[in-house]
Amino acid sequence: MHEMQGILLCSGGGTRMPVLTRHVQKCLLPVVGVPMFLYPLSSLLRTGITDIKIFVREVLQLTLEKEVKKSKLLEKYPAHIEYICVNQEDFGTADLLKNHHSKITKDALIVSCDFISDASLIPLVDFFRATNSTLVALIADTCVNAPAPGSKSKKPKATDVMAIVESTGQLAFLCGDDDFDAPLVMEKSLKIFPSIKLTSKYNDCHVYAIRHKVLLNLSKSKHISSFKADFVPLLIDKQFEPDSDIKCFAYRLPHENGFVTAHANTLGSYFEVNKAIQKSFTRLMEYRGNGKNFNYKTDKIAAHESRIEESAEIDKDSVIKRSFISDNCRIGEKTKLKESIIAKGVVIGNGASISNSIICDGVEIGENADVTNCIVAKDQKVPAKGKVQNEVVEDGEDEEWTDD
Amino acid sequence: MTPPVSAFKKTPKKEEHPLVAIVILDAFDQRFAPTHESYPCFGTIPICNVPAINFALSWLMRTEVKNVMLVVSGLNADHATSVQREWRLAFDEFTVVVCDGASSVGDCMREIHNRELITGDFMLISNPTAVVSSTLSAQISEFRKRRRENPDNVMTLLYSNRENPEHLVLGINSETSKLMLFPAANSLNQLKASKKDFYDEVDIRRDLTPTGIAFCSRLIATQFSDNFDFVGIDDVVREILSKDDILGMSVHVEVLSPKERAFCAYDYESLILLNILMLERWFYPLVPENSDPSRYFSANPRNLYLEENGDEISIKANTWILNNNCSTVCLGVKTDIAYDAFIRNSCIGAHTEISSKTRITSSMIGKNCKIGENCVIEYAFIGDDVVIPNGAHIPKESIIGNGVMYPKELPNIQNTAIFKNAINEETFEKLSSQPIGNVHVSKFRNGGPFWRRSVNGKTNFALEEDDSESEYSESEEEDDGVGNSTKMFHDEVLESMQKILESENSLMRNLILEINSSKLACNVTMDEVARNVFAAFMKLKHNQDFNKMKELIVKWQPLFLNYYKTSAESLKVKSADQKRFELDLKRRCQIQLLLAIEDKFDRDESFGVKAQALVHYLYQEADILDEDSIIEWAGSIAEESKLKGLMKKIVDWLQEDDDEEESEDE
Repeated sequence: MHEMQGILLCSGGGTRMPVLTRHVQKCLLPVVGVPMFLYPLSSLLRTGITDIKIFVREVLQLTLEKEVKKSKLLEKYPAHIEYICVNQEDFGTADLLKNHHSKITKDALIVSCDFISDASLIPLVDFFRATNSTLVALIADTCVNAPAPGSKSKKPKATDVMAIVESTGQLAFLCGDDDFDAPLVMEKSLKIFPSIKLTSKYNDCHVYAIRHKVLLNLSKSKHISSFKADFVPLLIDKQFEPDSDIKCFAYRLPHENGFVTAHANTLGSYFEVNKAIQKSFTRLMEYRGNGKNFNYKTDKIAAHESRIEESAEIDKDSVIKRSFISDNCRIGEKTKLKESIIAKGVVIGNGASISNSIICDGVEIGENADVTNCIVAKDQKVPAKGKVQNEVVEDGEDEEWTDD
Repeated sequence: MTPPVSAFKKTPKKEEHPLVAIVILDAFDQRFAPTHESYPCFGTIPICNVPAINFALSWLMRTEVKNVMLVVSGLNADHATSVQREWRLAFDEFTVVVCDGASSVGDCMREIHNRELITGDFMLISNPTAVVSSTLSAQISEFRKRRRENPDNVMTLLYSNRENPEHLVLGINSETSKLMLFPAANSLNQLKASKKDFYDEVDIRRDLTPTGIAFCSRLIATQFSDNFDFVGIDDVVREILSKDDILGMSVHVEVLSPKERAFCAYDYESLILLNILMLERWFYPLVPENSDPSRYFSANPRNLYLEENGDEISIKANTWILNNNCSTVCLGVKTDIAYDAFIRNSCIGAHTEISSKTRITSSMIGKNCKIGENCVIEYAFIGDDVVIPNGAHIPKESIIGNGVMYPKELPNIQNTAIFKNAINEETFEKLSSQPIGNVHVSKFRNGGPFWRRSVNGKTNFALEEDDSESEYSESEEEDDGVGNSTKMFHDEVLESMQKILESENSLMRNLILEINSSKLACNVTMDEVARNVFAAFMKLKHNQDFNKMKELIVKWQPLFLNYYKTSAESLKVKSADQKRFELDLKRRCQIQLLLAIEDKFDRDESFGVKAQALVHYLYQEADILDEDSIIEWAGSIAEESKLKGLMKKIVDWLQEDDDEEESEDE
């Protein structure tokens, strides 16, 4: 049995969601109350990989170790995990792999900490072996996405554009939508592939199976910093050189393999996956239990498609739909919660209405307040009868400066 | 109470307008000069010893088309008449249209359009060697459906599901079959995709082969008339795709299923390939023995075809004359083949002798040839009446013209064709030839190959030379890069004008074609074209005398009307937006012309009085300039310039005209 190594990248800063990552590192952002990085770790373990390297900032290593132990994932899927400390900030993925190439001794399955899915990666690994390919990128046309709360609603645009050989899945071009700035001149690729499909339908999940020998070559390259923006296009172009045995493929995730797939690197996708993953949450994270159940006749609380932690207090006559309520929350009477994420220790007054919003740790929502399509940052307060819509509620640092 | 009369009236059934097939008999390609003596029409070149046009009309007969228009240039009218005589009974209507002086498919279409012979949708067969194995009923039906849904779906191109030798690529929206991307004329292997093409899910296909067949609306013919420089249907496609927001037209693509076959030949490589495919019966039921009612073929195992003399049909030969190593061969009447000759994938014309131990592979050999012993001929095209001596090894991709006595010691020169006599350089101005021994070796002036039309996607071989010059200049003075290409364009136009002037035969269409070729090669804008065309005109030595210039302006008026005026006829068929666009474009071109005059004055102030007279003449007599353009331009001349005062007289005179007209109206 040919072994693979798993590489989990937890050192990213979450630059696309600053309001959430000001107090929490991206890999520890809670997704239904569970640190984000546990989901890709679970995916690696369920694939059968027993040698896993986690790239992490030094200050977070102990926290991650604690969370892994708490999750009991290793009891179910025994594996050896090694933490590799990263000292410098803003390293690209390729830089990380270059600087620590001695740690990688086999073909690797590289995932980022924001890949959240209940799909099995075993078919991807099988595809990687069957095609004897150099690189396989996981792509999906069912990636979870939504408009981000806190702003005027905007339809999420395509994130990746790519050219695929429809029959085999071979990649001829892969580029982030934001990076595509000049028309693509196609000539070399058309000499090799008789038919190519241009598409923006798929998202790149940032899950890559890659051969060890090309990682060795990566170590010798000086000008490659980003894995996605620099190294992958380089490999794709090498396919078109004469006598090249490099083959890059895209594995298109079948719809029947799992309910939820997300690349939660934007506010919108992070927000939506918190709600979507609940269908599979209990199966994925057994250690968190089943959450609170309510009987409407007895408790007069209506809860649909929602998860409410055991330590949360919910008063009567409340309505909760497609939401998540975390530990130690206090929800008053006659409240309405829809399509929202309520973090730890939040206090919501009687008669409040919250819709399509992210409420961060320690927030207080006053009685009869109305919060719609907002992000309320950590420890903020919304006054009684306050009406907030399409806003990000956070510290006014400029005001503080003016006050001084 | 009698019921109203209208109750008994039946609404007449709306009939489908019958599709007319327009078949172009010529190839308009000087690459086929070697066969000119025997087959001046490309459509009469034999494939499997049957004229190509017979195959085309055979499959056309199986389609729903009953009305055929056979289009031919003036020089080859006799051949079209003889084809008509043979085939008129197979169709309801069979018309021959002779286009004198035509030198491209575009010229033929312009002639047909000018004579108003096109009254509805039509099928254009721009290549007489097009062959299709099916009845095309599904494709014709789809085309009609698109036309009913949206009149702007002006064309459907037919492609077969087969990789093509040129590796031409296309971009197609697979859901709608709409053509989204089309390669430039000089880079057939290359496409440029923008982000929108990814959003639109465009399929990039290299595994398609053009068939030379297109289903068109009348607007396609109008496109040819509006653009003198268009030589083929590809130019119309590029125009429609590049201006789809202005013209609002769409081109679609029909790809035949893998079970249906279609192909057409456009150079010697594809001609040999078509010959082999036909011998191998890929286009069944279109097969050699069924395609020519005046010939008798026996079809035999191993794809061996023997043409028999009609007079002796009752005395059928019972002995076979080729050995077991021969396959996929077509023999003409009374061929004399040595038993130990080795022939494959080839076609041998009537009365040809092939001697002992000669090997022939993937070649086409004409009539009345004598091939000696121990010869080797591979991938060659040999015309009629050719003599090949014993032991000759013909280089691959050779083209030997009619009547050549092939010298055994002939050196192998690439990209050439061999002629018996020096070529007529007036008739074939793109070729040159030089004598070697008793033959003349001919090549393209631009260095391109005879055997295939494109190499690595490039079809314009002269452009490489220009590119290298341009690069060299740009490396020296980068700022002058743009100006340098404009200057190059100007010099080329001047040279073209000089050449036309020196020849007694001044065809404006040829000059326009050359100017537009230079425009594409030098990559200059329309404004620069308009300015430099007139600048070059004024620079001609002949035009230093003002009276002579005036005479030449009248003589060359079609040239100026093409660039600076819009004809009322072409405006008639355009939409309001298109009209506005066209009128605005021509007005800008006129101003560019006037700026060229201003430039000349800036260099030479003594030109001032002439400039005044010239502007007046261009407006009043030649009718090339419009009043609004002159007034606008005069307003932009610098105040300190003497030209301002000179032009003021003309402007005042123009406005005086206006006042008089107004007073007359009162």
